[in-house]
Amino acid sequence: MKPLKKVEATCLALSVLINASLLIAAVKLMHDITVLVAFTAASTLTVYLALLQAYRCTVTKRFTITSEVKELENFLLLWGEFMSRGENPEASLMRALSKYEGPLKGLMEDLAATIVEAGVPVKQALSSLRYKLSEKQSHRLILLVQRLIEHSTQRAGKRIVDLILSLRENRQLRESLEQVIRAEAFKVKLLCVLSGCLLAVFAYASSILAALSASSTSIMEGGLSAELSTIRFSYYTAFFAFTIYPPTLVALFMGEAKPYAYSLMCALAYIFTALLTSLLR
Amino acid sequence: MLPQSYLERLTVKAKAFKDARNALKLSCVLAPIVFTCAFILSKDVIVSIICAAIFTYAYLKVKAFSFLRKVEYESSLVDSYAAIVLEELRLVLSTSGSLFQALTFVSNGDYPLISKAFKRVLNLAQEGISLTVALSKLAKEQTSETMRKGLWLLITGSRKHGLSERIWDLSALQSEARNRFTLYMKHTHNSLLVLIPLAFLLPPSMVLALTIKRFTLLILPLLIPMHLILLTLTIKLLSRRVAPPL
Repeated sequence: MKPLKKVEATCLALSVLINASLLIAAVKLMHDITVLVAFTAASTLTVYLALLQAYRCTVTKRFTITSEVKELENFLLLWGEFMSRGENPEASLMRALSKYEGPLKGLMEDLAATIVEAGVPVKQALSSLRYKLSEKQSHRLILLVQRLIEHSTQRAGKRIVDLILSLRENRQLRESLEQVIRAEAFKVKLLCVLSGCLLAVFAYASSILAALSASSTSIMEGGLSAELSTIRFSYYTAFFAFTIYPPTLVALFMGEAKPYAYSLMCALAYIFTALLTSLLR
Repeated sequence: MLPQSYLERLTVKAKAFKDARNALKLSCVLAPIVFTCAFILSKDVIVSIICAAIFTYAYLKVKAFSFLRKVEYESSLVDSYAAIVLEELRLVLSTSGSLFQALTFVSNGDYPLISKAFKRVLNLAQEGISLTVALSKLAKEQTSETMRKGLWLLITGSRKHGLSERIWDLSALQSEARNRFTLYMKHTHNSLLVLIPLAFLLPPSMVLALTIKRFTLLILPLLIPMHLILLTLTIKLLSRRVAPPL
């Protein structure tokens, strides 16, 4: 229930941000405040509901594989290999330990010590090892080994080797998906920055056009520059709304961990370009 | 990817029945609301009836679509665990020789969806129904192709004693999950190609059109929700969940 509340809060914050920028832009142009507020409230509600829908249907997670799981697989492969030769779990663990050189060696030595010296059964020792590992995937692997060696050791060893080889094949598949998404993420980042700049330039151009059409008579007089600055401000704030939600939604669809970083990038590019263009005379 | 075989379609229909009833109930509430809104706006009975009918049809379609997606996700989840579950079943069956013990072992294994289904089978067995009958009932209900094949092999194999090694090839068992995931990969790539122009190229071009046509800014509170709804609908249509192979 808790993550849902967080999602709702973020949706609300985003929709309020979008509509606040619109409201600030419109306050300067329109004098009837009640109509404006009603309009903005309706717009906020629609935006909020749409964002919530988008959030709810994109729950895909990225599949990250850490080195811990890879190392554990390496070790279990050795252990399983020795077990499949017909040795008992304890002896094959010792032999695997003598062959294995890797970051998990310390942990595995602890495991061997608890089994051989303290005389703890393999199953219990493995469940205590499970709490020392951080990844969910390695928990599952340990659980699998624990369950398999309950029955026949030799067959379990064979199964463990088969399973880990199969898991490796699957991991390659997942890594290729990760590569595809990483390439797309780079493209999206580039587009975020570009669309931010483009929007700012368009805001500048349209503010000038609007000012010209509003006061074509007073171009020659000095009244334009004051009017232009207010119109430009309202255009800049209005188009700011476009920099908030598209990057977040695309990043959500890609399953990024921090979708707001994309929006932030777009908004920063927008603000930077807006500042640059407002310096133009 | 919709379920292909006749049995699968039958299962989906049976499961869909409950969901469809709920969706119909909701649409009975929503359709009058849409009707009154349309009537207030248009003051025309025929137009508002057409509006309500279109809304109800679209609502039910979207519901059916999301239901199919759910079924697809569940079967992919079962597919990805199927290899390990069937391996365990085979190991326990070949060492202990008891189907009941093998099923109990898997039902204690905390596998998503599968353990619960096996617990149901065991409950049926405790009520006096033959274990193979209960298991074949489960196999009939399965939407995952791998799991269904494995269960049928288990049922027939447990009668004959001893399962052929050749049939239980692990990478063959995983092939369904892998195929699904490869398809999902291509799908993600393609749907980003649709989504990126909609998200990034549409707003500047809309702004440009606004500038040229000299609309006031007051159209933006209309335009932004519309763009957002378009994006949300696209994401909703494109997004699907597939459990990765383990």
